[in-house]
Amino acid sequence: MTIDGDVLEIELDMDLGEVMKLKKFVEPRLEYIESIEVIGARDRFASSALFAMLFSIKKSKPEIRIPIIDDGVFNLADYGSVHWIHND
Amino acid sequence: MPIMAAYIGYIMTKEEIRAIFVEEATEVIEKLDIDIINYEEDPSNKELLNELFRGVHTLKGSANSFGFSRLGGFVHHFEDILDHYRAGEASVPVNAIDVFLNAVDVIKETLYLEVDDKDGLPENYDATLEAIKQLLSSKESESEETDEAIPMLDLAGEFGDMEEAPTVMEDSVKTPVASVGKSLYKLVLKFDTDIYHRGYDHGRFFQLLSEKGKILQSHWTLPPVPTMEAFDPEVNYWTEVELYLESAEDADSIEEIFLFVEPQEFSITLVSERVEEAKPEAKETVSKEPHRRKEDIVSEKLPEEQHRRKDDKRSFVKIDTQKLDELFDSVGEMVIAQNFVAENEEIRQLNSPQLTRTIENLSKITRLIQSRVMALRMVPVHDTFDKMKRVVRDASRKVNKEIEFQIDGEETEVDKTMVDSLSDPLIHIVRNAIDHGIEANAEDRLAAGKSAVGQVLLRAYHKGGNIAIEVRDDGRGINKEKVYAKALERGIISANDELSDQQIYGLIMQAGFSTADVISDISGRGVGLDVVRSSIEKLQGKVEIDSKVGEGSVFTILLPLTLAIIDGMIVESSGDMFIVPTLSVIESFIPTKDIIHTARGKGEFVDLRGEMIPIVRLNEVLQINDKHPEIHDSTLLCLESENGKFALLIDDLVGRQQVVIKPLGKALAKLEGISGGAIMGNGDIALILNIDSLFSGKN
Repeated sequence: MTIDGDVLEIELDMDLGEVMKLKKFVEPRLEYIESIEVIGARDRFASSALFAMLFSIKKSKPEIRIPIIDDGVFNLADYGSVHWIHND
Repeated sequence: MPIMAAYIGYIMTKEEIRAIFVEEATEVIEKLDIDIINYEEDPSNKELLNELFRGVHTLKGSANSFGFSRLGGFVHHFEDILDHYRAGEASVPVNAIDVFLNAVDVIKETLYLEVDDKDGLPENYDATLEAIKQLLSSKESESEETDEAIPMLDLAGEFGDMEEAPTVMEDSVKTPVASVGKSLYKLVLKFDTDIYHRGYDHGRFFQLLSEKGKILQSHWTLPPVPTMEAFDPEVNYWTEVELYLESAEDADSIEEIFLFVEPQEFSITLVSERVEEAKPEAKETVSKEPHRRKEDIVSEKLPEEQHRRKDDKRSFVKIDTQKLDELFDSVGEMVIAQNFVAENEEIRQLNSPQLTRTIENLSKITRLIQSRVMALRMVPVHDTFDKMKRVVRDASRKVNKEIEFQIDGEETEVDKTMVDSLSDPLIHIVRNAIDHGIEANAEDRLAAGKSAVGQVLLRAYHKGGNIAIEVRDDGRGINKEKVYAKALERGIISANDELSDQQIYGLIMQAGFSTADVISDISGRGVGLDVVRSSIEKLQGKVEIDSKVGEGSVFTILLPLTLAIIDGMIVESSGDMFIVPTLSVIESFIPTKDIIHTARGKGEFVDLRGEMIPIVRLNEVLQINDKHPEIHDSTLLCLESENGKFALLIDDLVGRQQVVIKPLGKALAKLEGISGGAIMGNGDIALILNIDSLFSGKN
């Protein structure tokens, strides 16, 4: 997890502990984060808590760009296409 | 290949082999009936004809291998005519369906004669055989071209030949297609919110699943989530994750991944079976020998078919239900022992978090094992429902009424013991609906503003903790006044009896009751609905009737999910615990003084919203003691019994629980008012009350 100006870069292999740390990191900085991008391998993910939190971030700040959820679908080399069904 | 071949390699007695033959042959024959009716509904479906042919072919082999020549001979002719229609272009004439169905009846009866070593032939044997031969002779006048074109092309389709494309669902955008040699599974994960605390994560399961095959696609469902402030990463917000996995492994192997997950938290469905790559030599055989007889090819192909099924453990594991009962009983003991540990005060006082966690884990695993053992006994009502199609067909023809029969909820699962006993009562109710429910003719229906064709719906669904099986017709309904008058005339009720609509409808299930003006040979023979009622009551279920004159009737059979477990209200009386089946409970309440009445010589009553309900004191009826507690200091449990409604007086209502039924020993089996026992979590024994025998209805 790194922050490059107003872009937060995360990796998909974050486990639950790291997601909890991410929440603590993001909450006070949410105001100036404009985009959340995935860096590193796009083959698999470690915790589904990360995805849920990305939706929570989006709900808290609808204008934020989070391509992996904004596009409705993204592909993982090991786990195929991932589709979101979210009503909020 | 005869069905028995797979078993003959084992050392079995002749009787054992015979018993397996009879069981399997009966299954095959029952399916023939269903396939014929389904084919009649969908004559363009050649696969159904192929299915029929396969069943008959298998039966012929088995019958001949047992020396059942009467059966084998008849089936051989039946097979010939099926082979003609399934393989050729000729369509099946309408009258052939009747011949097919008659042939199945003859097969059934011939099988009984053969198995019982009785001489002779069924009454319709010769006539049906003649009808088959006539159909066969008419085929000879057809062109030869069709016959020549049949064999190879047809068999390719029939036996899942290797050139077929994998089966996929229609919506190819949503459903991926598995690679050659792989099966496609759909998995639905519905994890509880606490999975992260339990040490699981979707990510972990995805990883394990990807070791079993390849995940092609997943759909993640998320309800509204809280904003960041309230968001708790340790809570699982995903309500459902649906994923498609292609794998060369079977469903059991995949299911192992979820060993420690609650059964309701996941499901696995086979979307398409593994399809092998085309084998060049198979094509070569076909092209080299274009003129082989169809029958020879079938004989060679069948072993492959059997072998493929043999690999499929799900198709071939047959377990005696008695062994399942024993297993379930042992698991029940384990649950009791586990509850005993969980509720043990001395263990609690140790105040050890580690021990508490271990006991909780043990509890979870025990429940998991219990529910899985339970699931072994559960089978869909599908086959029983399918059998009703033939019943409807025969009954509607017999009384000359056109019926549209619909089935819904056939995937609903019921305890195997109950499915076996459900067939006869259901046949009677369905026949009753056609014979008495639906109007005598189309003119009557049209005059009543209905469609000319009578509608009968058979539906299964879950209702509370029970299974409901409903037979609904849109016929003339039950004439309440006529039922009441008939019951009065026969002395079933007295003029003073005040009965609810439900109770009046219930009278038609009293022994010997019939309102049919003309006794038909379909139903209404005076041994009708009372037998239905007693059969269902033996299954600890009940039948409810609802009806509206001119609109139709609904017969609903309510059954417990299983006979091994009962959902019960735990009640206390004079310091002892008893269990009342929840199915019988209408409501419970603490009465006020003003609604309690005593009628001289008739006992005590409670006025429940204008209805006078007799009170039965549990401690007195079971002769526990002579105490006579004040009614307004006690709790009343309003119960529905076969003798009518009554209020059971108890000291207290303790709670509701599912308990494993334990039979009472011989000495206690005839105890009036008691139907069984159960061991409670604390090790105490509670007796299960037999509601019907607690209240005679005459006090």
